[in-house]
Formats: sequence, structure tokens, C-alpha cells
Amino acid sequence: MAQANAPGTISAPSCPADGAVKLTMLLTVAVLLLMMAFGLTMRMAQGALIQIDPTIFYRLMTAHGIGMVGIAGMSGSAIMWYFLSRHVSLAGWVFWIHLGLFVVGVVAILGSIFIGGYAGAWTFLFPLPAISGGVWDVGAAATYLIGVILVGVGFLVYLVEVGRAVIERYGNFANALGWPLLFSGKQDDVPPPTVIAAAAIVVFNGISTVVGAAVLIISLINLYLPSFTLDALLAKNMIYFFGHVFINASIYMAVIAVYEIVPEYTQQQWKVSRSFVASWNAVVFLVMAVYTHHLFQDGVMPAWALVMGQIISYASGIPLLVITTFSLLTYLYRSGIRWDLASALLVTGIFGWSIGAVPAIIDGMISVNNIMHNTQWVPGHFHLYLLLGQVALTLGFSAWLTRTGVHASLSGWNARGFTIYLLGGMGFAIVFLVSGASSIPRRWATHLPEWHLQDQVGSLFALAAILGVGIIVLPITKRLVLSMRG
Amino acid sequence: MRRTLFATCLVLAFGAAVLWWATSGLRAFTAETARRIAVLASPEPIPDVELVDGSGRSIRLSDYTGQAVIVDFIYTQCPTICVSLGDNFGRLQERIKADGVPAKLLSISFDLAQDGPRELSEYARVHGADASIWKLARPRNAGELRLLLEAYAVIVLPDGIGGFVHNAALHVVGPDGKLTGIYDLDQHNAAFLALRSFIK
Amino acid sequence: MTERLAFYAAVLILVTVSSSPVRLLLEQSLVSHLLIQMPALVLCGWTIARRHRDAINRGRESFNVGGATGLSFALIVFSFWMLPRSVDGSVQNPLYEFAKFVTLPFAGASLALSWPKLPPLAIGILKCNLVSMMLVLSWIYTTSPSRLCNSYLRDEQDMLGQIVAVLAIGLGCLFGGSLFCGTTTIVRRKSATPIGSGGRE
Ligand code: HEM
Repeated sequence: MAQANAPGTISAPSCPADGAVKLTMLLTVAVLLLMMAFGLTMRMAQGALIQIDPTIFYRLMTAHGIGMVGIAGMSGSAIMWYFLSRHVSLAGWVFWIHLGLFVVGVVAILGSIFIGGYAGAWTFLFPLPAISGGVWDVGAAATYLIGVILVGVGFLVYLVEVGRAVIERYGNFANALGWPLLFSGKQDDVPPPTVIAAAAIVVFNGISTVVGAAVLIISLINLYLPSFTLDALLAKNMIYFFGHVFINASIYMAVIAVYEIVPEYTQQQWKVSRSFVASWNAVVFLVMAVYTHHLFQDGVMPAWALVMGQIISYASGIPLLVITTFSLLTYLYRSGIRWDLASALLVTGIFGWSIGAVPAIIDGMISVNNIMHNTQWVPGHFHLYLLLGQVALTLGFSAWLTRTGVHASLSGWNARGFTIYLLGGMGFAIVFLVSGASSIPRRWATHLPEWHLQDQVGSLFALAAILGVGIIVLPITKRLVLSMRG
Repeated sequence: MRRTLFATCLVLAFGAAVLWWATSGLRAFTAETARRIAVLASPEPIPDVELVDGSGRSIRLSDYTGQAVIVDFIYTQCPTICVSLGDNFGRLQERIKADGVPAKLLSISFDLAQDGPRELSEYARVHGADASIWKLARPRNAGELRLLLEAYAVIVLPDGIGGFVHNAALHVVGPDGKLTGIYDLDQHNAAFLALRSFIK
Repeated sequence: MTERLAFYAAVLILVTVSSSPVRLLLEQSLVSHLLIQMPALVLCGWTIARRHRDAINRGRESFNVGGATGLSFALIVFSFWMLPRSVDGSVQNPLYEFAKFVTLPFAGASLALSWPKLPPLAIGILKCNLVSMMLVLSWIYTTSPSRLCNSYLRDEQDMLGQIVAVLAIGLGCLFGGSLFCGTTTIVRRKSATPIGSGGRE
């Protein structure tokens, strides 16, 4: 396999559905920029820099939420597919189906929002889709739900194929999750990090997709037959389970890029240690333990159970995060790594993910009194780990995928773009956190005058982040288009 | 491969047609809705069974010819659904009076064992039935009861604790003695509109 | 040997559940109608066909590549009998009843012929979908404002809903658990390159 700094063309083994992976990255870049523009519009409206109607604000918010979450999941799945195909044999057409369903679903979703006027937030929390106050009709809400269902079906097909291929190679999930190493220290045929991650993601995202599909269909029936009511609390739990797991999985899938690409720079294979295996297993089993408990519980859920659930569902990822970050640090420390755009972005991604988790932990702890939970603290936390975590990983992967073979050090426009993106993204998320700490609520279209200054600073940082991403993706896009033609 | 494709498509097409038919074009998933759709599309004649009211007088559907009637099925000991049927009938009675439509109400008891003339009169009193509009009656024997239940597609099941479970609905019978519409308990507005639609 | 035993047992059970007293007994309650009688019919069809799978398949393989045709047939039959209207129909209309006793065993048989041919991907998707659908059905049974079948009591519908929920979760655990103890033959890829080792060669 070619190294990042080897001259000449890249001879990386192409993966099944290589074209679909590249197309996904192109789509990701396009949707990302568009949704960022929506985000900027919202932020500017909050800062009274521009005037938009609240109905438009909520449409933008719905589109931004579902668009970003969708594209994060999609790009994550492309990254995992690309690298997993190095270890197990995947059927390329499955990824095409996955992508096709995604595109059709997105078209339906965008149509429901911008033609049908659906603006019930991406989380489609019952009974929001049904209660519109006359702003949108049942058809729009139904189209939205059907769009999400299509995307979900695509993910299901994808996950089942990944699971199938993993079993074909490793016999069962216990092996693929590294149990022989974990429990009895067996060293032979230890799966590579990518396989362990993929197996964990199949289990935990698979369960959430099954639950999500059920709750989506239930919501759909409820739209047309309102007398079939839905227990709001149960629905909320199911939807949060689905949403939480899905968005976390989008990061976990993208982290695989680090396991596979960073070793090319450091000349050291990513080691599968017992703690590494344990941390991935924790992701699967802690989350499942919490939520099966939730699902079994009928009726009113005590507050402490909700809080515990939240803390554990955040905490479940922490061992993984700590171990990944720690290993990355040790690899980097000894390697004398040569920085280029891809490596810089990938490392940023891991740190964005770690830093983003800190406010979540704080949030988890204080949500006991529910002060922070409906403030901009929450978007502060997830923009940190999405904008600087997931997005950085995705961009890093795209940069690596389109590398020219001639080592390009981090300089010139690349360096400028990277810096602007980093500072902009950081600043943008931090302003959200500050606003949250000063109790500014989330999801408000119009802000009080005393909040405007923060919103305006936030907008400025947002503009920088968009600019930075724009500079970064320009050459990547060009090369992606070229390589797809060629 | 090609044979399989052909066979699969054939099976799916045939299956889709069957499911379309079995749900009246994806409109009816339960027997109850199917029945309502069918009745709306083509009204069904109802046998002219003789009934007996609380004071022993005989009533027949043919007595009502030229007038629309809303029929419901009850048993007077019913603690739940028949009470709500009674309330809805009461409301309909008020509207019929206020509006002056030539329409009547008829509650038929299917509990031959327990509902005698006294029980029927008591039910009428409790729900404020005005005999000039709303009459209560019961069939004379089990055979004729079955005839009626079949015609209206009402299914009565003993609930095991002395009462019955039955599908409760407002059955609109047109001036020509045909069943023209079936509505949910709380759809008394729709039922009333159906009554008015008979006035030219 | 066990297959032969199962075959005779299936024939026996099929005859038993079709006999008037047992038939009426099982149809007395919604729960036993849907969760005992109907599955028994399918299972009998499956077991009977399985014994003669090869004989039935011979010469007809090309009509059922990948099990697509047989699976479609079975799914359509199941969808039909999942409709509350059909369930009511089978209790009240002898024609429906007859159709049920014919189509369900045939659906089971066609599943038995097709299941082994289904690609693993399809099996995985079917299993996930089954669990999802059961959760939805359970919700429909328990929350419907009215009785879905005129022939049955509300209590039974609620009970059915609760049992289906438990079955869904149980099946989910079973399917999930089976992923962990499979012993599928392991295919090692010759070309599996250790990652990041590129530089060391
Ligand atoms: C420059 C980039 C971005 C800007 C300017 C931006 C702006 C915003 C704003 C203003 C909100 C509403 C905050 C509120 O509730 O008051 C929001 C919500 C949100 N954003 Fe972003 N965002 C950006 C990037 C991203 C990225 C990269 C992701 C994910 C990959 C993302 C995911 C979300 C989600 C899930 C919500 C929640 C929507 C809801 O509450 O329903 N955003 N964003």
C-alpha cells in the first residue's frame, strides 16, 4: 500500500462501490455547505442581523437538524464501508442501494419542509408532527416521516450487509468484538480495530434502527388516525434512543478513518489492546442496558431514571473516547508525524470529539435540575463534537481519499482554510456554551435584545467556519469530481 | 433468473390485487369499516321484523316509510357503551326537534332475557326519550333477533360477567327502508347530516 | 429420522387443528386464534414440505431463484391474514375459513422451500423487519380506541398486544443473541492487508 508521502499515483485497493463512496463524499460536502448556510441564517436571525419569519426559522431549523444528522450518518457509513472492505468482503451494490434510498429520502424530507412547510423539528417528537397549528398539513408531516423511514431502511440494509460480511469472516460477533482477547487473552486472529468498531456499530445502531422504524411507523399511523394515541413519554424515549444512538454512531463510524489512516503517517499499526476492546464493548452494552430498561418500563418514568439514563448513555462512550485519544497521543508523540491537511483534520476530529464530550458530561450531571437542558448549552455541546469532531473526521477522510501522492505539507490555502475553520468552529460553539450558561434558551426564533450581542459574535464565528470549510473542500471537490470521471 | 423474476412479479401483482380487494382499496382494514363503506356505496334492505315496545305495542320498520330513522342496538343493563349511545340519541333527539326534520329514532334491545317492557320504559325515562320521536323496542323472539342482527351486522358477544360486548353504531335507515349509512357513536353530527340529506 | 417424525407429527397436528372441535376451541379467543392456530397451520405446512423439499424443487428451481417467488407468496398470505377484517371473516364466513386452512399451510410450505435459498442479507432484513412490525402491531392492538375484530372481546385484543410485545422483544434478543454464537464457516481473505503496515515492507 502506498504511503501518504510516496510519489506517484495512489495504489490503495479500491473498495467495492468505490464510486458510491466518492459520490457520498461529494454529496456530504454539498449538503454540509448548504446546511451551514441555513445555520448561519438562523444565527443571524437570532442576532437580529437579518429579519426572517419565525415559520421560516423553524423550517430552516428542521432542515438543518435532519440534514446535518443525515449527512453525518451517511458520511460515517461511507468511511466505515471504505475501510471495512479491506478486511471483509462486502457486496458493492448494497452501498448503492443505501445511497439511493438516502437520496430519495432526502428529497422527500426537503420537499416536506420547503414545499409542504413541515417544521416540527428533526426529532419528529410526538405529538409535534401532528400538531402544527395549521402551519403544515398532514401530508407534509407524513412525507417527512416517510423520508426518514426511507433513509432508515437504507441504513438497515447497510448494517445487515456489514453484519453479514463480518460473520462470514469471523464466524460470530463475539469473535468480531474481540471477546476471545478480552476474556481469555487469546492473541490469534484478533480482529483489526475497524472490524471491532464495525461489529459494535452494527449491534448498537441496528437495534436503534429497528426501534426507530417502529416508532416512525407508529407516528405515521397516528398522523392519519389520531385516535390511535401514543404514550408521549414512551415515544420520546424511543425517539431519543434512536436519535442519540444514530448521531453517536456517525462519529464512531468516522473514527475508523483515524484507525486506518493515522498508521500510514506514524508507520505504526493501531494496536488492539484489551482496553481498546473493552471500550468498544462498553459502548454497545451500557447503552443497551439503559435503554432496554427504559423500553420495558411502562407508565411514568421517574426523573432519576431519566437522568441516570442520560448520564450512562453519555458516559458509555467515554472509555472509548479516552482510550482513542490516549492512543492517538502516544502514536503522535513518538512518530514525528508529517502534518498535512488530512492528518491535521483527523487529529482535530478526535480532539473535537473529546472536548465536545466535556460539556455533555457537565450537562448530564446538572440536568438533574433541568436548568441547562433547554438552553443553548445543548447545541453548544453537540456543535463542538459534530462540527469539530464528526465533520473534521469526514473532511480529513475526504482529503486523504483525494490525496495526490505528492506529499503536501500543511501550508498555503490549506493551512489558512484549516486555521479559519478551526478558530471559527471553536468560537461558534463556545459562544453557544456561553449563551447556555447565561440561560439563553435553545430553539427560539427571536431573541431578546440583551442576547443579540452574543448571537452576533456567534454569527461572525459561524461565517468564519463556513469560509474555512469552503476553502478546504474546494480542491477536494475538484479532485473528487475528476477521479469519478476518470 | 428470468423465470423467477417473472414468477415473482406475477405473485406480487396478484397479491397486491388481492390485498387491494381485501381492504376495499386500502380503505378498510377492519370488518366494521368495510361494512360501512359497502353500505354507503349500496344501501341494503332491512327485513321488516315486528318489534314490541315498552307498552306492548308492535312497531315495524315499515311504519316509518317516508321517514328516515336512526337505529341503534342496546341492552339496558349496559354500564358503558349503551349509556353513551343513549346520550348521543338524546342529543340527536334535541336536534331533530329543533330542526323539524321528519326523522325518528329507534333503539332495539338485543337482551331478550332481561329487557322486558319495564326495563325498556325505565331506559327511556332515564335518557329522556320523547316517544313521539324516540322509541324503544325489542324483537319478539331469538330467531327474529338473529335476523335483525345479521341485517345490521351487529355482533353481540357475552362478556362473561353477565353483560355483552357489541359493536355500537348509529345506523341510518332511509325513507325507503334501506340501511344507507353507519356512523360511530360520536359521529352524531354526520348522522344528523345524513338524515337531512333525505329532505329534497 | 427426526425429519420423518416431524413430518408425521405435522400431519397429525394439521388434521387435529382442522377438526371442528379444536378449530372452534382455538377460535374462541383472539389470542389462541392468532398465536396458536395460525402459526400451527404455517408450521405444519413448513414441516410437511421440508421433508419433500428436494422432490418438490426438482425441475422447478429456476422459478424460485434465491427464494424470491416463494417468499413473496408467503409474505402476501401473511399480510392478508394479518388484516383484522380477514380474521373476522374467517370466523363468520366459511369461505374465508376454508381459505385460511388452505393458504396458511401453503405459505408455510413455500417458506420452507425458499428460506434455505434466501441470501443472508434478505434473512437479516426480514428478521429486523419482523421485530419492528411486531412492535407496531402490539401498539395497534393495545391502543386502538375500538375493537379491531367485531368477533372478539376488547380484553383479548389488549392481551394479544401485550403478548406480541413480549414476543417481539424475545425474538429480538434471540436474533441478537444468535449473532454471538454462530459457527458459520470462516472465510479468510487472502488479500487482507494489515493496515498501516504498508510502510514496513
Ligand atoms: C457553521 C456551521 C453551523 C452553524 C452556523 C449552525 C447553526 C445552528 C443554529 C443557529 C442552531 C439552532 C440553535 C438553537 O437551538 O437556538 C443549530 C441547531 C442544530 N445544529 Fe447546527 N450549525 C452549524 C453546524 C452544524 C453541524 C456541522 C451539525 C451536525 C453535523 C449541526 C447540527 C445541528 C443540530 C442537530 C441542531 C439542532 C436542531 C434542533 O434543535 O432541532 N450543526 N445549528
